[in-house]
Amino acid sequence: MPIHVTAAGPGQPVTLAVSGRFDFATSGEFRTAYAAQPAGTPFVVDLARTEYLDSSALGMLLLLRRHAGDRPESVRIVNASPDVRRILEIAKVERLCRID
Amino acid sequence: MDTVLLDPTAPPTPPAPLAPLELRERIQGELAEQFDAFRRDVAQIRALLDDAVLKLNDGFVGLARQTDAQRALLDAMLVRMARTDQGSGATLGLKQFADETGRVLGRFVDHLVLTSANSMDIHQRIEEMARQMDDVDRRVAGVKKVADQTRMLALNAAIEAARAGEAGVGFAVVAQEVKRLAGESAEISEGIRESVGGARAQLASSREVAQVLASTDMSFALDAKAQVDEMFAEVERQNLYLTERIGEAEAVTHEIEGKVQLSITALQFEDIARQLLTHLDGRLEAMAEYAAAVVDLHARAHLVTAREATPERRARALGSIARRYRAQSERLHPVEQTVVEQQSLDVGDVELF
Repeated sequence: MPIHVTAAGPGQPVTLAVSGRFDFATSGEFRTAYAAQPAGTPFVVDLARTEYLDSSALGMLLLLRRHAGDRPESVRIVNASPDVRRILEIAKVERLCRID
Repeated sequence: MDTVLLDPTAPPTPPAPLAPLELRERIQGELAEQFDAFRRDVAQIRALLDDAVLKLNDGFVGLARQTDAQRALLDAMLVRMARTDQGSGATLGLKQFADETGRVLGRFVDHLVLTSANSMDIHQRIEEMARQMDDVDRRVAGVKKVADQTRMLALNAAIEAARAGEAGVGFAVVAQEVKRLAGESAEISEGIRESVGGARAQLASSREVAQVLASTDMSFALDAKAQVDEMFAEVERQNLYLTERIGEAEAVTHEIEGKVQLSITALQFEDIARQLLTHLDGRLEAMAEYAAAVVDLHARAHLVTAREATPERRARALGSIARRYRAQSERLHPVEQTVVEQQSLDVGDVELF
């Protein structure tokens, strides 16, 4: 399974870890994973094992942010590799989420 | 034929001595000629000096004006470059082009991400519609089943009506009608099933379109960004290069200005030279007077020696000549006192920077 969900507890951020390619093929599973959480839940997206992402991944992060409450602190992105980080930077994802 | 031979051993016949007054006239004439030549030379030097200084002065003043203009041009270039740096210049420079390209790229990527999100949203809704189509299929299958059962029911009713004979004739008509309605119902169900199949095919292709719309490889944006960055770096390099060269040109201009100032100061030699020439004029006049007087006194001394009979009268006359000679000599000396004080040209310290 390319998406791994870790929920620490009520009110705590839910971590979605994406392995391999983060693209359209992953989007269904990704959506199912976040839609299972109540609206307004904060999320952490762990990209440590993400090798590739395309525009649908960026769109997915946008949809996740809407689901998570549409605030800058709603979604935090962690462990992005330099290549992945460059794509996040060019799409100015930092305007939407915190990138650590 | 008589030949007159000159005796080579005989001493040359000396020319007849000139009388002292004739000699005086001749020497004074020579001297006057020489002093006139001196005066002409001095006048020529003065004229040359005037002309050269005038031209040099014009040249240096012009040079100073040109370096001012050059400096203004260089300053204007620097100001313009600084303005281009802030991107507010009127012309579309390379820097602004890179800026604009970067902005367009940013807007395009924003739009792309939004399109992806919306396409996935549409994709999700299509999936939901496909699930509802499955429901429709199931319900239609139920309707078909009911129609089949109704048809069986009508068949049974027709058999029962036949058994009843004359009394079942009306009931047989009803059973026939029920069978027809069951058939129609089955046909409508089949029609719905076919329509749902068509809609499902449409949904499948819409889903593919949504997937294509949602999925764009981002490497094009990375490449474009790299090109824009390279363009910025090139602009920086160009600006740095131009700024440095303009700075060097300004330094050279400054140096030229310094040299021009130095040259203009050096032209003050003209004043000193002019004073020296005036002094030379005075000295010339004094010497001319002195020489004429000395020649005159010398001639008088000759005449006195030849004419005065007694030693006492001779001595008195010579004494008077000697006094006049001394007086003449003293008139030369005041000229010596007026030597120009400034002997060398001190240009002083010229501010270079």
